[in-house]
Amino acid sequence: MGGPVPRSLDLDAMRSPAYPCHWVWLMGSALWLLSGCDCGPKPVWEPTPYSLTIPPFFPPMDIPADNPLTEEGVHLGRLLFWETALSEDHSMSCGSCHLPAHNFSDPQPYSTGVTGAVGTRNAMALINLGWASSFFWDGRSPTLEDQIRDPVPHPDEMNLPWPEAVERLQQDPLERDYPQRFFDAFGTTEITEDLVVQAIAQFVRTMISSDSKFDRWRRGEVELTTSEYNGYQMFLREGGDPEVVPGGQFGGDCFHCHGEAGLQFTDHLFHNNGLDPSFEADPGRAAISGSPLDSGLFRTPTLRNVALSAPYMHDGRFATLEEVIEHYNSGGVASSTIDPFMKYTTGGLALAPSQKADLIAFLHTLTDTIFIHKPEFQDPN
Amino acid sequence: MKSTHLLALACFVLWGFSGCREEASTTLNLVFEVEWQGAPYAVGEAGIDDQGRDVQLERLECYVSDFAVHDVREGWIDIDTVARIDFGGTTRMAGLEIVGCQGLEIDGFRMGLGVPADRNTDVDPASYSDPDHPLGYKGSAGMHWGWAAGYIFSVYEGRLLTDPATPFAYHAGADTCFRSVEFTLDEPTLVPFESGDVTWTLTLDAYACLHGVNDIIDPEIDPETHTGNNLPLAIRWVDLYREAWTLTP
Repeated sequence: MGGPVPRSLDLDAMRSPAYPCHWVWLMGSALWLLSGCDCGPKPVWEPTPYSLTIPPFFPPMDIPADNPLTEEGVHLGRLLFWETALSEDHSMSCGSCHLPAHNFSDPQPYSTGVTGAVGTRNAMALINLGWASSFFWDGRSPTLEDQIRDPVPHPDEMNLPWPEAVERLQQDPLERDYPQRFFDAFGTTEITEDLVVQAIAQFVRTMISSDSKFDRWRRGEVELTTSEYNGYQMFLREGGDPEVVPGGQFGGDCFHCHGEAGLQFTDHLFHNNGLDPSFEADPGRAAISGSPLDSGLFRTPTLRNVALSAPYMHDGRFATLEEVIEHYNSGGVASSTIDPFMKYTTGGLALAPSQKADLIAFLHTLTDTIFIHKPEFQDPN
Repeated sequence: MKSTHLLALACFVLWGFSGCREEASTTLNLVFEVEWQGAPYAVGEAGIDDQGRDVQLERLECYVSDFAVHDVREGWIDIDTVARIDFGGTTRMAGLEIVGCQGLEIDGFRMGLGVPADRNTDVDPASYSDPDHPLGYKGSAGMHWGWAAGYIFSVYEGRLLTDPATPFAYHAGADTCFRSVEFTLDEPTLVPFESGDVTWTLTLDAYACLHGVNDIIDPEIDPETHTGNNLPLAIRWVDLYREAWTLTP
């Protein structure tokens, strides 16, 4: 296999009459080749900074200093995201469970790995993760890079040890030119696990959704329908019948956890939203923190593209948005850690059917089909 | 030379000798602790209330700002800093940089409980260039209601461990719920600029946040306020909260 082409050498220019010393250079090169000297011109690594556009009303993105975005890194990340060689039997890529049409999540409650093993939680949507502060439903990964390390060797997912995955890329049997692409992205043809996850992380950070109807409304480009606007107001109001819940406003009480700051619709925190009375099946955040107060707590997912992200909750138990709304409307199931925001002691949200419909109409305004169809995110193969 | 000129010259010379030629600074570090009725306490533990019920606090966070120290010579010196304190987490310090030309002799301290009026509404956390700023997108996570409603000044959440448990949540914000707490020190404390940083401890008694001299909040009767939906309770809460602080220089 050939090494990287030194990008600094312009052979055409050297062959031209305008180049005064080309014969001398050719003689020197011949001598160098014959002598086996390894002291010739080194390839020049000149990555192109990726110009990331932060949409209006979005916060600055906190990009790690040791993994800045480059055109070459993002492109390599896209290839790796869709690379089936990263799975044991060459059948799965990251994109197998994070399907574009489903907001880069899995329409099945649990994903099935290469061995036929079934996971225990719903694959989370990959959307605006550049602003996330923890990853996975239990937040066990503090960085995107750390999160990306997990699925490749996981026995229930791609089931390929990292050394083997790296070796496959290095050998490049499908001639995707990976060593050269790693050189272009990171200045080395020596592929490592760290560089693979860095490239994929760069790609995932570019997966920004900011073209939903709600975004366009915030930018003053479109109007919301009456139902959508009413739903937005429901989203922002406190829940509960004021006769039963002090301060209740007959609202949806969504904004406490799905806050609209930075238009991300998540507080990035962990909550028990009243799904179960006990947590033997899945302790959630407590398995990471060790605190019983975290039992049954899971990370708040964004509501962006929620209409495309079914099924819902960490275990995909709800198939439709209507079921989700009905769950919150009921107040949820009491437990030792249920969030104080849940109205489980006071009869739930007491929403009328028309209010539920309005809320769902608002949630649909968060749908961004431009995002899911963006060519730069699709399988290049 | 006229006498007025001589007087002006004398004043100039005196000013030259006595004035502040080079400003120095020191950092007053504030460490925030929580207790329950005067005893050590950690968020997540159960404390006993006035009716013998277990109160389990699960979230206790606040913004502090608008600091000022009172120097016996200079009077009040304002320090414009906003800090977010999470009593259940690791963010329990605030550093106040004091600039001057000589050491201070502090006999008073003031702290705002909340976010100053010019920064608490109509400001999107996303507008801060540093996401980790206490008011920035990440730094404020969970402490911001939305563009119009602004920042939550204080969060006091948990549940009475009754059967069934009784959840409560007191979220205070908006200018009407901004409070200041002021301390007068029995003995003026010297804060020399040349001898390094100084650390003081501010302690919040979580019990006193519900039990005051003139008011007691019973979470079973008044379980919830998010300010806008139950302003009277929010005001009762912040008035108790203001009285729940002690300062140990």
